[in-house]
Amino acid sequence: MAPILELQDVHAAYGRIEVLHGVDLAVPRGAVVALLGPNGAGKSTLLKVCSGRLRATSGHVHLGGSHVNDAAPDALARAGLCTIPEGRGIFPNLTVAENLRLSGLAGQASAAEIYETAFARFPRLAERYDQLAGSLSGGEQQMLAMARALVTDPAVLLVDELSMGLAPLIVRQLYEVLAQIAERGVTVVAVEQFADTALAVADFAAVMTQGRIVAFDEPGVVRRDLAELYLGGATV
Amino acid sequence: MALESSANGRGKARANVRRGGAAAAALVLAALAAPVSVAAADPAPSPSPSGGAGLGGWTLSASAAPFTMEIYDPKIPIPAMPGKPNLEFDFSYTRAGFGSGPTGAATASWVWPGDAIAFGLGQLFNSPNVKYPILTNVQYPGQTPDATMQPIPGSYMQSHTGADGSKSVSTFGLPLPGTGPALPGASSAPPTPAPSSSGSGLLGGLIGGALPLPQPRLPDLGTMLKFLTGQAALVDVQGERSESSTTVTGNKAVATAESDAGKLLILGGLIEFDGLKVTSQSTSDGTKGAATGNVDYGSMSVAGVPFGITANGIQTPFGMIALPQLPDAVNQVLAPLGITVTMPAASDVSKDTAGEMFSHGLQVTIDTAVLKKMLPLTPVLKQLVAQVPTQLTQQLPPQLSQAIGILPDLAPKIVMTIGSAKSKADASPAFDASSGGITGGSSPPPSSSGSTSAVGGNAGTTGGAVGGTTGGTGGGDSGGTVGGGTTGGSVGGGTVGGGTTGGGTTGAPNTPGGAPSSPPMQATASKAAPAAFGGLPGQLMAGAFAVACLAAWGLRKYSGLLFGGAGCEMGHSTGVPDLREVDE
Repeated sequence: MAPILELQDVHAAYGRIEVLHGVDLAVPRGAVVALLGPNGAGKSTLLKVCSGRLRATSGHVHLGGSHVNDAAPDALARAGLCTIPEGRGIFPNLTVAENLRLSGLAGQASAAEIYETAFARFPRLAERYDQLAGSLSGGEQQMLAMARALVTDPAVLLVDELSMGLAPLIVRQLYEVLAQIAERGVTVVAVEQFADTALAVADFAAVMTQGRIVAFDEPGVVRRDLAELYLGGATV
Repeated sequence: MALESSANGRGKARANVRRGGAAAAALVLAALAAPVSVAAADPAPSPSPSGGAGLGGWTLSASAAPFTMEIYDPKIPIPAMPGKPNLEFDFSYTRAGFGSGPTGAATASWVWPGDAIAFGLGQLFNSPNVKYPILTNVQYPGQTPDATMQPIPGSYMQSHTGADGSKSVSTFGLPLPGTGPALPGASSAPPTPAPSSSGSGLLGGLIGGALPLPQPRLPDLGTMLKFLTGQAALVDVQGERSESSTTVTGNKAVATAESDAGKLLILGGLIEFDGLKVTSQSTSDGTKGAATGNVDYGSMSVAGVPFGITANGIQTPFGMIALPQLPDAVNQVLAPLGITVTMPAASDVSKDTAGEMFSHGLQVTIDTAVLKKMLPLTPVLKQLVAQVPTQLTQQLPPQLSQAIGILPDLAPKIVMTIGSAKSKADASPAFDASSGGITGGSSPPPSSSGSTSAVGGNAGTTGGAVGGTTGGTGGGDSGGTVGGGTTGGSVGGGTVGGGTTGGGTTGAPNTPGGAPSSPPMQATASKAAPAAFGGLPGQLMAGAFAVACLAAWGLRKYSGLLFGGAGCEMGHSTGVPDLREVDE
């Protein structure tokens, strides 16, 4: 199966500081890939490059078999690449319904269809229909973020630190939802620091340290070598 | 400065200008007691000048001094503009100014210390009652159109200003020039003409022909010894006079300055000029300015050996020296001492309607910083300053006591100019209100709208009825725009022209005694505003904006298509596919 997302020798930098030092990664279509690694490894930067928010200084970014190095983020979003950024990225001063409608503007779906899609996956949000998003709990805000992504009908979903600031129970629930989304054929790349939770739902796991992918394998293999990988003792 | 009055064979009093601070103070005290006569003001001065009917506006200035010393040193606690001297002394200084309005000013001073001291002495002494005494200064309009002063016998200062122009005369030891008043206390004998021979001096020789060559004779060793033993001054000016006048007659504005040094002795008489005369005259008829200048040295002698100044240069007993070679040769010798000698020059900087001329005679520049390096003067000066009683310095104003303290550290640049005359005349043609245009000018430049504004004011005084512009040629349009409604109501018959640029077919009716309705510049601006954003220019601007927006959108949307993107070495196509429809 041809990978839907493929990176070859990708380098990226913030100004003069290079963060990615030649990343190679191939994400199969429909798979859930957990991108693991310690703080500062370059996981979030890699997602930015994939979503077009940061230009690769060199290397190739292929999406759906096309070269998308210079593609604009909005063009990629319309094409079906959706990102749930770290910190959720919701509009706290808009209601839940308004946040959902806003995300659906790019598509053809009506408001009713948007609500139906969102509330079917997250019934809790229906109860908070006209509540300001900023007044929701952390878990509910993350649900809203995921719901907004769902209403765009994504083909590839990039999730950055889904578990940040949430209770373990809530995190587990959210990952279950993520698995359900993947079952519909959506490719998921989830950046996560809590390896166990992510590996539980992932088809593959990649480990990043110091701007490079140092391991890419099935979750069981990665879990076994995780401690060593985090310490930089293993190579792919 | 010490001044010595003495009679010579020509029956003229002569003065030696010497250096010395104490003597200068004595002079000031003497001048305080000197009689000053101020003529009563004209009870009802005419608002319009006697001349100048053919001119709309003018600005004239003239100044002259037979001997000038300028001192440049930022440590001197006297404010000065950049490039201007901190301290200056002009002997027999005169200046005159005259502008359309009319306004005038005339100043004469036998020892002129510069504006800062002449008019700011009260501030220096922290007392408004302290005035610089050796000065006649009048303004028009003002209470004193005429002033005269005779500080000591043989000296005379006179200033006059009025609707007919301004004029100042200052003399010491020489008769008053031309038709000026008789010198009080002077001999009744007719004034002996200055020893200079018109048309035979340095520049005069260039024009009028050569002098007969003098016969060489032995140097005057006595004079040399006198200087070397310190009995003679660096520069002695025996007899000096200057006159500055500014006036307008008909359609011509004239500024004239003339300085005349009877006899000039440099280095204790080692070098002697007799009859040094510098003149400068600038004129303007409103359409073109012109200027003439002349430096006439009369005769010169060095160490008693007379030299003839001819068209070919300076005739010496050893042969002819071309004029351009003299400064170089002299400067090469004097350069190690920090002394530079500049030969006389007359600079004509006339431009457009303005005539301007600056003529000066021999100019000696002394860089005392160089001299101080060669001569260890600083310790000596410090010892002298240390001997000044503390009680005395405490009683002085702070500025003066500070000045005494920094005296040893001063290393000023001193520029001595022997004979200088400066004149400038600028005018614009009259505005004929009846025809609504500028008259008398063939092609006034459009850039002179500021001057033309005064033209409008003049038109108002005649009660013109129609504003706008029809007359003149060339730059007449701008004249009508500015002048049309400037000061029409100044005397009651005001006319506020409503003409825009090049228009002038309409005009507000006369408003007796009324003030001008609105500044014409504002009217012009308000009418120009819609034109700038409407019509074809506005459409072009909007069209260009739309095209730019379209191009930006197109580039953003189809940049990949247009330019092919960055390309892929792996052979993948460039572009963003719809991931939902990509085949597996």
